[in-house]
Amino acid sequence: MTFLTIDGLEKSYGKVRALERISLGVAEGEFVTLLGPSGSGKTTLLMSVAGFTEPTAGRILLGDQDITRLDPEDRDFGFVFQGYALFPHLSVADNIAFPLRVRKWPRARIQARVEEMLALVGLEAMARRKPAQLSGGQQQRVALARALSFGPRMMLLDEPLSALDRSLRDSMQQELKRLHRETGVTFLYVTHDQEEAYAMSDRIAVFHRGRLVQSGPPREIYARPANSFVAGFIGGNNLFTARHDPHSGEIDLLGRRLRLGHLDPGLHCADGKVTGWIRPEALRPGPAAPGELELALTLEDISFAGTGDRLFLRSPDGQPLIASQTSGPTGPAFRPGPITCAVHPDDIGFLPARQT
Amino acid sequence: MSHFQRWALALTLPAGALMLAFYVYPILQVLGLSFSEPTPGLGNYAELVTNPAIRRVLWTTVQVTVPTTLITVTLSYIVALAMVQMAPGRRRLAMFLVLVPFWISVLVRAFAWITVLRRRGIVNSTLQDLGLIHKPLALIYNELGVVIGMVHYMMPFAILLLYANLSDIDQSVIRAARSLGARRWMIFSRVWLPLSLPGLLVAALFVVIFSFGFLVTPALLGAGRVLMVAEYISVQISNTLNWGVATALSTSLLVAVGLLVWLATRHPALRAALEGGRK
Repeated sequence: MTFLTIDGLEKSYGKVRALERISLGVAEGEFVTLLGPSGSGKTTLLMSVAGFTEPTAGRILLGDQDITRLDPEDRDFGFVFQGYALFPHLSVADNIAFPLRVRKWPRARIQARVEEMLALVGLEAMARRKPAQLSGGQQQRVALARALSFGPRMMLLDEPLSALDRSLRDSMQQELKRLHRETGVTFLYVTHDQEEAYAMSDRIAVFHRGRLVQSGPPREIYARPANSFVAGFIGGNNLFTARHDPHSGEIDLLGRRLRLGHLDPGLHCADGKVTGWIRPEALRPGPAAPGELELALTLEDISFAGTGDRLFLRSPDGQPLIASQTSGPTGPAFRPGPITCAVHPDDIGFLPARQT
Repeated sequence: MSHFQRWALALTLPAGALMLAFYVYPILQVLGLSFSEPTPGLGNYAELVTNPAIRRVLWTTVQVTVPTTLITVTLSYIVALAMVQMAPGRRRLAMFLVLVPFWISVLVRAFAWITVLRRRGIVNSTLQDLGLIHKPLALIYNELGVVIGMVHYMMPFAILLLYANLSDIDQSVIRAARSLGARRWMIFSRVWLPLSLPGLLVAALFVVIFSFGFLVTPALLGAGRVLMVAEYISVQISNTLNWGVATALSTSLLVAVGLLVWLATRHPALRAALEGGRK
């Protein structure tokens, strides 16, 4: 059952179209992430759902109630802002109590609820502090507790982790997942960080230039990107161009002429050009094992990336490729120059040609 | 200290010398005169307390300053709060309109108010033509007229001060309040007002200090009937040549203002607002 329905939503600023006919459904209790680079429209969509941005056309439904023109204060959504937006003059407890006082809850119930929320985010000891006396991660927890305290119909989160450093981000992701699980509230989450999106979401909606280009579970987005933008944006993919001969069924791929069985014969490629992708971790230096495809490439550079090494390669037809390798403490035993690499045909993907 | 810093410091010397010669030295002279003219001693300060004319002048000053400050700060806060929330284009227009009075001399403004507020001025004749009043209202040559003129003079300053303070408030905090269910009045009383309290106090302090030194507007719109401290001092110096009392009064005024500013800087939020910068 669809809980939140976004139906043909558009937003224009003068001639600039920030959102183009967005339709998206969110189920009750789902964790949906709007993912895209800055300026892709994901934040505009979130602000429209929150009521801070008035869409030019289209509707937003919650259940069967049309909330498109409802004021933000009447929507009962918990909103978590990028910069936390805590009330600097109020203590942590008073920040969390703010939406409850607005709703005229009785004093005893407010106090009980504030304690419950403080426990939920592990800040019992900080109740009397002012936001300026807290660390970034603690401020973020207060913002979450404040947005959850009044029992919102839905949580809207606008890049809430972007101001935190990396190690804190990882633990806050776990915390957000736990809060989502424990409260059962529907989460609509905006980020430009695909790892964050993978780690937390039930479903990801990828945005590009005001359009919703693909939506689906994280693994599906990762395995089957719908177009070259998604393929490139997700996971630092290697995108390359190949030439396909529809008559012979053969393909010129990174300097080799092959028959590739799983290349969809129904693909439109009138000009014979197709875009393909190989994940950096699927491209492996060394001779091919049975069933694998061997590529003769040139190694141009190696860089250390913490979890492993990144090999900067070039194909005989001049296309750049990256292979990522886990490596031991001594580093990789490769030198710049000709190198043989192997890839399994199943790890080579092709995009529908008309969308590339 | 580097070579450059030494030179930079040397460049401020002329300005420092000017300050010493034309600001600090006269003030010390005023201080000296207040203890020595006409006879050495504390006589002038004793007179400040005992002379009923001076007491009346001080009381008038308070009577004008308090309503001027309250009205100026309230009206300016409304204008500044509206400006902060305007679209950029409108805000530019509003800022322009606020700044226009700065280009008109205080003398011209006082005379303009006289033509508007006098017995046969626009306000009285309009009200009479409409039959709302039968006798002209006494809008000028009294404390009301002085307050009107002073509020008009002070508002641009107060608006600019409050605007700077209010635009320092993070707009996402206001949005957060809305998302948490707060309506207009709640947002105003629980978010805007407490967050802008330091700015309001600084603006009030500013208006009070200015009011102490107001000369032209009370003199013209009060027509000698509303005698405030600054005008009284000026009369003592140029007409009755009573320099001793005048300098004692000036010194007391300076001390009072200094005390107010010092008190304000005791409070960290007020000090930040006084210094005018984001922390």
